[in-house]
Amino acid sequence: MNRQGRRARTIPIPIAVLATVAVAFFALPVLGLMARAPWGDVWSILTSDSALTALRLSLWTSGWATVLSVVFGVPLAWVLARSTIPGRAPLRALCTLSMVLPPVAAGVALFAALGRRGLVGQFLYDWFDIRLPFSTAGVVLAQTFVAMPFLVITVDAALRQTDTALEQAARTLGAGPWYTFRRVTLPAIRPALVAGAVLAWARALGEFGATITFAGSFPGTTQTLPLAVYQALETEPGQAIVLALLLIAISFTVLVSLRHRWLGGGLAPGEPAP
Amino acid sequence: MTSDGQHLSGLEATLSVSLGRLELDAALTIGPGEVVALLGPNGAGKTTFVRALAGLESLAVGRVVLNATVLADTETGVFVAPEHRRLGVVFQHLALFEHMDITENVAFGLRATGSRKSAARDRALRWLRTVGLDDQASARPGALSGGQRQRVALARALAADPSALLLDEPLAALDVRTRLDIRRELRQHLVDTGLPTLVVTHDPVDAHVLADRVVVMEAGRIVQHGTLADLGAHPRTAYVADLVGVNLVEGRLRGEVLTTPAGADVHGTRTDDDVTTGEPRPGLAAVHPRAVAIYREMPHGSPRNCWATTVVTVDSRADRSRVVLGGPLALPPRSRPQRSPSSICDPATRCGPWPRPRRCASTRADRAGDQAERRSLRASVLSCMMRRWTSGEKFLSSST
Repeated sequence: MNRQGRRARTIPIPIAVLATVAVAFFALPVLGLMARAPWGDVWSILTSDSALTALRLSLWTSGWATVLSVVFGVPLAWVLARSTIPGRAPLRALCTLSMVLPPVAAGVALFAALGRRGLVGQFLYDWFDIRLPFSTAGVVLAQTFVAMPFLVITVDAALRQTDTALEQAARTLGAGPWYTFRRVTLPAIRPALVAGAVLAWARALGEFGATITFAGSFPGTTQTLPLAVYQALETEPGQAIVLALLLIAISFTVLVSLRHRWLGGGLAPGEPAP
Repeated sequence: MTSDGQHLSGLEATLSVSLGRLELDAALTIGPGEVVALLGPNGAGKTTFVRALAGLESLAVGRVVLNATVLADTETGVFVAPEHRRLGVVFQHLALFEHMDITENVAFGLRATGSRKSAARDRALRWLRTVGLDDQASARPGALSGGQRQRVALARALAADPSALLLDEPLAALDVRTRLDIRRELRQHLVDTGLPTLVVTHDPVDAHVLADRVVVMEAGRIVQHGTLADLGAHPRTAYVADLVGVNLVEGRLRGEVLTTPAGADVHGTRTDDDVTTGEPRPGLAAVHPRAVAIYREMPHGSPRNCWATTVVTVDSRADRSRVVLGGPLALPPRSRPQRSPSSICDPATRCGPWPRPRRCASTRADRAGDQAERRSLRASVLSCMMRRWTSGEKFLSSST
């Protein structure tokens, strides 16, 4: 990729013009935020109680969402990539549906399944007194629901690219399937696993639609940073702008660090995920 | 080396595997301490055979027995998982674990089967010393040369204490110089360990140096086995003839005379007992390059086989030349025996242009004559072996 890029130095003019428009389209909103940000108040806004509460909740919930995504997503990716069970194509579509689903629809769907009168939620409530909607756990579920596919897709692609000869060599050396997975497969896909986890974390951190639908927006329990931004927009636009910039800064840092460290070989060169 | 000495019967396998276009159907026995080379053209099924032995391919029909332990038997439904077969495999591309240092690589099999870390490490270091890599013990495989990587792969397979060894093209990835060294070392290790060993290769030199016996596989079938000398004396297919550097001439055989389609009569000695002089039957003559001489004039004496010929090309090597001859007795033959299993090997895609001069008559360079006077030469074949070739012939039926 690099070599090709270096060879093709001249950019055709129509492409240069259109690409510049595209870059501007992405850059302008950020510039707009920066132009409108109340730079004098940034520190006081960021350290205000409401902002800190939202930030703390966001880090806590997105962290758990990432853990859940890894714990359940890696086995799922393994099944999608390596097993020979029938119907893997529709299964893969089902498990990555929430990437393209409108997040609000995801929230409604979660309600239908896990709400107090939901398919499973009614039993959780009746038998165990577990109420997921409008709770911090509900936030984690909503975030996991939309974030896990990013990890699954990344790890699935890496698993399908890794040379199965390594695993077979491990087997002939006396290693069982589980030992082989831990000592050979997992280290081989570690870059993709980290990339997938970071992508999933970034997606969870920015989750809005499913969270507000399924968990509501209660400061301290379910009001994550994006929800705080949305609420602040009506009352304190300055605070909204600063918090939005904070989210952008986090996402940008994540993407830049991923590009350099993790997306070298694991994925097709280009965007990390559709 | 195993402790159950009373059952060291070696490795026996009869197996059929279907994999895409390949229909593998082969039987093989390797005695205790015996090294067998499995030779064959690309796509013949050699690697699939090794994978099937190792339990990495499922058998359609078959049975694999190692030292009286049944590893697989489709009749009784036995299938021992690869990790319990005790077969040391060196893969074609080595499959070293790049995320571990070479000590961890070699210790892998011991760790996987429950050895303590320190004990596994000690044994791994001992194996690294055996293959001469103890000074690199903490290097990653990626930092090593091809020959060193090859040594790590062998040490890793041997450290797991296998009961038999399967080496898939162990020398294919090495440059010429390293190949010589590693080949010699490998021979020594195979002698030292005394394990029944199958070496897959397409290089007869590997087979000659490493193996006690050679098995030739073409298109999923074993077409010939024996020592390389046996193969050279009686090549049964065009591939084997190529392999051992013998020209296999096709024609119609009557008594001790074989007539090529171009009309040349080749006199020789029958290797079968059928010397009847009835109807000509399809047959083959094996013409060894040593038996071919080239003259500018009609040779004196009374050689029985003598033709006007054309030198098509001269391919010079260090101390000898390969000469391709045209005329009524083209050497090597322009057309190849039709029934040969090697015709499965699609000539257009795999073998390059066909017919194409391949291994051919080799003579001393000075005999090839002045290049400017290539034409009107005479070739004389002093001796050749012939045998009948019938369409229903079973290659292995008279293999003794």
